[in-house]
Amino acid sequence: MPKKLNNALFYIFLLFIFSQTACQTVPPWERGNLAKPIMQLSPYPGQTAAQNHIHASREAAGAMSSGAEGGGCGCN
Amino acid sequence: MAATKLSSAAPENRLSPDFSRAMQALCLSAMALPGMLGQARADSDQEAGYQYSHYEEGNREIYTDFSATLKGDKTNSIGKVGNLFHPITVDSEHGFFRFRPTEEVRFAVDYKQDLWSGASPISTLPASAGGNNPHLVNGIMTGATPLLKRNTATKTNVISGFFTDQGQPLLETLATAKGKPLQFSNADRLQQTLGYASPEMRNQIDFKLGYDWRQTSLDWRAGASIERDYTSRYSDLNGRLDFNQKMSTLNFGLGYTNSDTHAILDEGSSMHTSTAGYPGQYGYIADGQTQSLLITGNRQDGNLHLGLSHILNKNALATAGFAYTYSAGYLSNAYKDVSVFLLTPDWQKSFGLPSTAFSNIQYAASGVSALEKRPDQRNQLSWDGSYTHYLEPLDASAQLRYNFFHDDWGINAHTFDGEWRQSLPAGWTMTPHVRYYSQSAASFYAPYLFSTDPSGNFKDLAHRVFSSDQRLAAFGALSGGVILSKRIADGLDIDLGFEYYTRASALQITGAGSGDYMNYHYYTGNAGIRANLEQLSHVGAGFDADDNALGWLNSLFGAGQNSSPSQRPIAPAAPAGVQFSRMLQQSGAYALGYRFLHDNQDGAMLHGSQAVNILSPSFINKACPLTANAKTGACSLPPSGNSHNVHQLELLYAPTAWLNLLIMPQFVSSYQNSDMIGSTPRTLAHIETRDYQYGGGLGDLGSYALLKLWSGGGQQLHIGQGFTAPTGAIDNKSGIPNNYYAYNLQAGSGTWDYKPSLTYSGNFDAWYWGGQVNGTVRMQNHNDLNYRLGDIVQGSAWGGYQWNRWLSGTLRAVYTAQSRISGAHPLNVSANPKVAADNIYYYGSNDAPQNYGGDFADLGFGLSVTIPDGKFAGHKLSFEWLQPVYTYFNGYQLDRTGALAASWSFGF
Repeated sequence: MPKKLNNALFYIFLLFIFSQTACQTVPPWERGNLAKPIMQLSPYPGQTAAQNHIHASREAAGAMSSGAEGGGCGCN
Repeated sequence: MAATKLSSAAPENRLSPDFSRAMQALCLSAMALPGMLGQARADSDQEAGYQYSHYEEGNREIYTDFSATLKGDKTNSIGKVGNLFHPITVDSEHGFFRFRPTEEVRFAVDYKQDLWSGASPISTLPASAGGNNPHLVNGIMTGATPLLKRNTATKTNVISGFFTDQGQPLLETLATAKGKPLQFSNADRLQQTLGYASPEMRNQIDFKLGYDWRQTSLDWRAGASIERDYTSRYSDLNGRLDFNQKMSTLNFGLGYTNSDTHAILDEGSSMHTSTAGYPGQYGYIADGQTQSLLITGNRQDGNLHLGLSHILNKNALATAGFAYTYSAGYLSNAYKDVSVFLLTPDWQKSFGLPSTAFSNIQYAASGVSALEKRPDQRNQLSWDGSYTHYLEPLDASAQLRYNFFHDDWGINAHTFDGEWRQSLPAGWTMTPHVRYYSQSAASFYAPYLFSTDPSGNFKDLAHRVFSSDQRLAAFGALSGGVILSKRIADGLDIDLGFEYYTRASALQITGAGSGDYMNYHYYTGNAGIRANLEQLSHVGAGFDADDNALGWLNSLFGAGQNSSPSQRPIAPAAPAGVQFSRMLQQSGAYALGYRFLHDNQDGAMLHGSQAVNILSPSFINKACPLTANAKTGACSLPPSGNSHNVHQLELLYAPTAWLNLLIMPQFVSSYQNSDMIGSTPRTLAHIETRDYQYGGGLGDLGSYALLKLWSGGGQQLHIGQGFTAPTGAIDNKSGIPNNYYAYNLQAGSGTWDYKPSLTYSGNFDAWYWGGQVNGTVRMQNHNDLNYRLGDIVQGSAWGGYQWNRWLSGTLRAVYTAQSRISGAHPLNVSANPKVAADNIYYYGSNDAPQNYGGDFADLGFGLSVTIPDGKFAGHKLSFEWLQPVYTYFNGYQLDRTGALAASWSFGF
């Protein structure tokens, strides 16, 4: 995929997100759905951390997602 | 905690139904907010949990050149051979505990342990170079040794080869001898040279302290990760700021990691690895017999990230984030090499050809395998966005994520991720997900290099950076899996996860990956349990709520708003080392428990109960009896220290008051260090400590039924019937493919084992007492590796005194008898079958099955703390130290120096 197209797709995605924000205020009593466990950004932190650790040791870009963490030469 | 604050601020009287509904929604929404920070609400503030993960890679393909055995046409002499290396497997466990000492303060501790072993790539070579050096018998590989410089075709210890002027490898199919004609085929292919790593262990622990204000929070975390060859210390500071009526949340963080490499390349790799062109940071260590390459280095990583999450509408939220990491120092991997071919000028001359012949072909008569050398700085940037939407009619949510990564090593990477979270009846949630990842190669990535240094010293590499690490190549990866989650009881969840991952050159986003020979796949399985300590109601070991001796603990945990005193149970606190001692008295009740057992054997070498000298001939002849025609090497690596850790998880359920069911998964890790005796005769021996050997993984899974036989007058008798399934590995190996680790470094028994027990307990006033007889009977003649561990019988008796309502102490006497191992696993044999019969011997005394088992007596000193009230009422912590008082080994073993048992239990 050409680089320009990649960039364009990324900006369209961002635009889509921000267009959705258009000053729509959600009062607290309408946030019941957002409070559901399945609406958490990461409902299974343990599972996610285990996958991230493996991706970080298998891919050049993986380590960014997990912040500071040890673990070096292991499972190369 | 925002929920509490909001609700307490509301008027307490004149509650209309509408108002209640609004309050409910308000509380729910307030609870939702912290979850938007990336610290999910599932990542609760009052929680304990445990997770086990297993990772397993598929086998890599190995090719070799069969031209020596082929007659006639040799243009297709490269063929695949079976790969007998175990692929990489990793067993991990993760335990965590989080609680709020006060309303505003959060504290968390996380512990992780990885045990891994298997074959991983070291370098890349054309298959004709024979990098994996397979030993073939009738075309079937019987073993392999990575020989990074060996050329099997020419039986020389250097790599050589023909290449096109574009650098593609060519197979010379007729002869390379002087004066013979040359004929080239492009049938050669690249492959990775695999090195086998013995089991290694990583331990990581970190602590987090958090503070919450009304709209902000701050978290500070610090920890360390320790491996034999790599140590990392890290710390980070993360903050959160809610604004815009809590519609938006800003996250920010700063992190710092400082890591040291201390890698000793084993003898095999050291011999074949060149440090040509490598600027320092290595040296050699000699241990009396061998010389190994030591590589040291330090790296530092600084990281900052910013993230914004925003509620779009009542069903959707989105996030956007940015992260930057700066790394400096030794960023290479000490175990990765690059093959470097030294091009021969006017090579045609050495083949008796005119210099104009094959002008588009290059030839390298020699080469080396050089340590990889990455730049000493790296700047990494990443941008990410996500969108999460709730679909009301389906009670499901969908999440899409995208991440773009860029660094100054020339790597660009895209990650697309999609997840569907479906709520199901009966507390189940199913979450299938799919992920696509693609990266371009680092600018200095190359499968192999050429040197044209006329001096032959590879000086032209001195100022270059280079790596053949597959992780810096261009590739794509597709993975998918599912997480199944079930709420067993209020506040108790189990998660099961599975993921399959396939990496392929062709999956690279432009279709231009670095090579199919690096393709592989893996799968992972995770099982976790999480207990929300606030939500679980408790019936455990409650006490009369009249006195309050534990005031400081109560104030720490918040005075008893949740305490629910219940009937004082029989056997209030059996010592921590006693299993199967507890029965739930109420039908429908559950209990969770965790037990940690640690034992040490690092005393003198004993024969029976007498100390012996490891240099004496009788030790060599009897502790490591010679088999077949073995002449040297027996007992050259006797153990100097052994340690075992067992983590047991207990899930206890009472269908009725007289029957309890117990499931007990366990995770085992062991390590051993050895004395290396360096010369014969032994009187001149040079003794060195060798590196640790690690073994372990998931242990044998236990399933038990506890039946109450009789109870009355504060006394109870119950019987335990159960067995363990052979889920623990018994094939942990060292670097030599046929060399199994000693029996006590394996994770399981390999057999189905019957484990009966009979427990008596009683109490009167503040005194309590008990006794137990238990056994382990192997129900099979032998396991898959042709041996059977000895049966065990154990008896113990204890007495205890409850000093006050939260503290008690125990004294216990234990007697244990275990028989010898019968049978034996395959011995350490040479890879070459012709010499195997002459070379069978035991390296260490614990490799010999006749040295196992014995008679032992111990005294146990125990303490038990039961939290009487407050948020954590009913939690019980017990510790016991077992001091050996009598030891008689069946053969030769290291003296026992004590054992520790710690347990936590909680009933609800």
